[in-house]
Amino acid sequence: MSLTPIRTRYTEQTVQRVRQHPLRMLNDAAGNTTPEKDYTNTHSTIGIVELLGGWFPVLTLLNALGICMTAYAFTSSRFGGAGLDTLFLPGLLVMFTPIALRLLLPTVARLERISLLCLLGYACYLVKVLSSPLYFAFFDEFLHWRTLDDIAHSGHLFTPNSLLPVSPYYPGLEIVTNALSTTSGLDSFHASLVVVGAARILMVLALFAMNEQILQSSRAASLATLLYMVNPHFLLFDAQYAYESLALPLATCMLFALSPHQVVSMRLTRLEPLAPLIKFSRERTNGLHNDLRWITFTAWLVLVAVIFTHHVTDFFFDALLIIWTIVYAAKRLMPLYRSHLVRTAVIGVLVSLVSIVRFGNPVVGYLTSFMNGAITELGHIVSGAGSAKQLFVNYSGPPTPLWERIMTVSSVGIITLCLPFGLLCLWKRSRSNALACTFGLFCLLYPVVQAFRLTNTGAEVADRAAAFLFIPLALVLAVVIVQFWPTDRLRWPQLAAITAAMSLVFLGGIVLGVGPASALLPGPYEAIADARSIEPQGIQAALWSHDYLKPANRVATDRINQVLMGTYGDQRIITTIQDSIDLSEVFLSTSLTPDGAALLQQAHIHYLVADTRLTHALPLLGFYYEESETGAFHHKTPVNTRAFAKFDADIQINRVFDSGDIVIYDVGGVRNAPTQ
Amino acid sequence: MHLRNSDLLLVTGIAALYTAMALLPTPSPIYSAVGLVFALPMVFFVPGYALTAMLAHRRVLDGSHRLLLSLGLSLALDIVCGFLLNLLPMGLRTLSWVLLLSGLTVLFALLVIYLRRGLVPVLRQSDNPATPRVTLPRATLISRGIRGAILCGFALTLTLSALLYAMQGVAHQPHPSFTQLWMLPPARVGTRCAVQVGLRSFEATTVTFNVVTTLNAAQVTAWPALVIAPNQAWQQTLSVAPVKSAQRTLVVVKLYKQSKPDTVYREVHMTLPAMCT
Repeated sequence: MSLTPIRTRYTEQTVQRVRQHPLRMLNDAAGNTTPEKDYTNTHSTIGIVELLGGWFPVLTLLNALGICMTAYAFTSSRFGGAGLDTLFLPGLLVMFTPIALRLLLPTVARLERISLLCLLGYACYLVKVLSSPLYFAFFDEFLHWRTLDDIAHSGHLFTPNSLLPVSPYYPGLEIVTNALSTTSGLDSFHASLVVVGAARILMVLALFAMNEQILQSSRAASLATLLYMVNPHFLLFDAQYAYESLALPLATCMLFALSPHQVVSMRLTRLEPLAPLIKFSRERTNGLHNDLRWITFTAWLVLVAVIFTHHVTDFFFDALLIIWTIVYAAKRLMPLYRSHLVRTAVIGVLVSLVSIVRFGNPVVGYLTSFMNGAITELGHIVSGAGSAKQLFVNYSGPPTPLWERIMTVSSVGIITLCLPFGLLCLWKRSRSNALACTFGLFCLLYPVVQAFRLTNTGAEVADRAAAFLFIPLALVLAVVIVQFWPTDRLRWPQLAAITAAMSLVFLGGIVLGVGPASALLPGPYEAIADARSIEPQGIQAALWSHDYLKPANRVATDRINQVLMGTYGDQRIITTIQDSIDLSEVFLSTSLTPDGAALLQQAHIHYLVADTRLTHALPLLGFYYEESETGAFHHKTPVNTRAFAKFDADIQINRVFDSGDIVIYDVGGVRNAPTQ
Repeated sequence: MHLRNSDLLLVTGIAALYTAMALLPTPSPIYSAVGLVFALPMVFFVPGYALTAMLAHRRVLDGSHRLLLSLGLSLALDIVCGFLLNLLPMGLRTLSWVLLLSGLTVLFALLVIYLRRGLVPVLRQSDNPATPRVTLPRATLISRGIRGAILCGFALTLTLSALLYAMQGVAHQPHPSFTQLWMLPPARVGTRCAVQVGLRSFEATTVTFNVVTTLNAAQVTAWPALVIAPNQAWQQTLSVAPVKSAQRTLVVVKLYKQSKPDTVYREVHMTLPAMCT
């Protein structure tokens, strides 16, 4: 790993200059037009043999070692062994750090950069697979599994899904999985693993290619792609079987397709006046027109796919296209009516509107109810009417360790600190590029969304937004590295410091995105802890309901048994989100009141599933049944044992199933009782 | 390298084989064995490759860009095709998927062959002598390449081992053992009512159970010393005799472990309606 040629060194004169004019120095560094000038061989062509003869195999081996360490950490955790800090995070560091260091070096060839990024992207995906290699374990995966199963059974789209009513209206992910599953014979779980794996490769390639188009440097592009991987949702959330995992790569692919639009359009504008006069210009103009057409068609096709895959990704990228168009117009690069970018933005918005207003699509209510709650809570905190959520406090279990807190704060702090410098560099370097300017504007949202971390209902907003905001943010952070540490001044201490900072941001992002260790590592059962709550007894109870009660009974239960009964059991789950009926009081109250009975009648409930483990533990997520339940996020004691015992005392309720922790009650008697 | 149609012949060949496999009578062992081999490229690569070749037929794309567009456009085409298939009565089924994806691939390939007519052969970037190329002695390159390939093979083996190890971990993760006891709603059997009582053991070892049934607190049936192995189920239909004095009949089934005969291990109960008495 040679760093030659070394051109200049810091001299006393340089140091003096920094002391005297730090702002000027800053401005010079940001405006340096050739920060990578001596490394033309970065663009050299190498083949597979050269790739295998370089550092790539060694780094592949290190990644495999990291995967082994995480596999051991997962298995150890399953058997009650060591936690997060022993092998899991070190394993991730073994995967990330050597590749980060290699990508920082200026002499690495483009093919090796792409290969290393794909390697790391896929290794991160394997970490998620290792966390549950035999069945779905993430909460959102169950929601989409239900939609996938509905498509497989009916052969058609749009079967209602009460677990996530919006899912059937955005079936892109399930369609691709269905195509693979039905034509290959793979079962739903394994087909889903392959689909998300393919989406992961698409994401890495699209990010690299898009960043390369904007920054015109494979080194800067590889750093930007690497920095995207430090976002809190890259490791697990965007590797799960959920619509965002496919929509985001597709949307990035759409951006890549559109990214040369400005350059092609400008060339065309310059050449067009000459076209009638000069034959060469005419041919070139035709070629550029053809380029614009295929770029636009590609972008449209992928954009339509995004629109029918995930709503939030669709809305975010529609907004990005609109802002990009406005910036484009402000720069007066060419008349708007002739711009393919404007047409793309209009098409995007129109198709999105058509998708939204389709009969029955609940997306507006779904998103506004969530955002309204978050914004209202934030407003209360700002106005002093409400108290901010205590950071790093779990609803159950031990508090977040100090080292995890430091890492998390450092991660957000480093990014926020680098942001102004990155924006300055971007302005100096790429202000003529409308897409780069648009990215700069979107980066400003990063500090804003961090405020939502102080709310209970909106804390998720900050993490969810990261997956989108890191596309521009990673580019800006990469520009900071490239501009402030030009290749002719790179030394090992700087390389080590930058690599260490990136590794810290990476680990901090993981802790930030996943939360407490119990949510990240597998292990013994915990109450309402999503992956930790998925265990054989719940699955077997759901399978029993499928075999003995038959599918499509109307069932009410807690958050975890909802997804188990809805998927393994194929039952019709009654949820607030679908039915606008909150049944949590029926479970939490110590007596079955007339109001409770009326709710059961109103919802036509046939079976109640009670998990008695909820009477022993607080919920990790802060609520047992619904976010709107009494005491949500403030439970101090577990569910009262009398809350479930009341069902045994009612002669209209039959206790039809008992597996120790899970009891199923037939409340058909209450449902069919005459109303008073 | 000159622009030729060998790539299109290859994708058309894959599409043809894919269709032929799907048209074999099901369940075909050949299809289940090699279905994945053809399904993977047909779902993730081939249609997008043909479409990319059609759209950018005047362009020589960089390899990574071609791979990216092939993958991205294939996924986008899959989604759009899914909506189209949804409009057909047949819906999203094996045959409809295969015919549509193969048909589109062949259509795009034919269009590309047509569009490529008369195009001047173009140099790829990698074939351009002006593009700098890392050069090392051939022998050194080959020996380094072999060493690298061995390392990559070792890495792959390690990764697969890690995956198998994780699977073993999930399979053998300790969970509390349990047994399910159930009583299903009544079914009319002649003039008497009946309920179905069952249990399934998920205990770690074979366990001996006692099942006791009461009707309005009076014991009517007992199944003593049921020896149930792990994953084994037991079921009985219990006929309920009329209780003339009562308007309702409360049937209670209790499960005891023989090792703890005084502790109720599981319990289910059901109130039979008046018409049953």
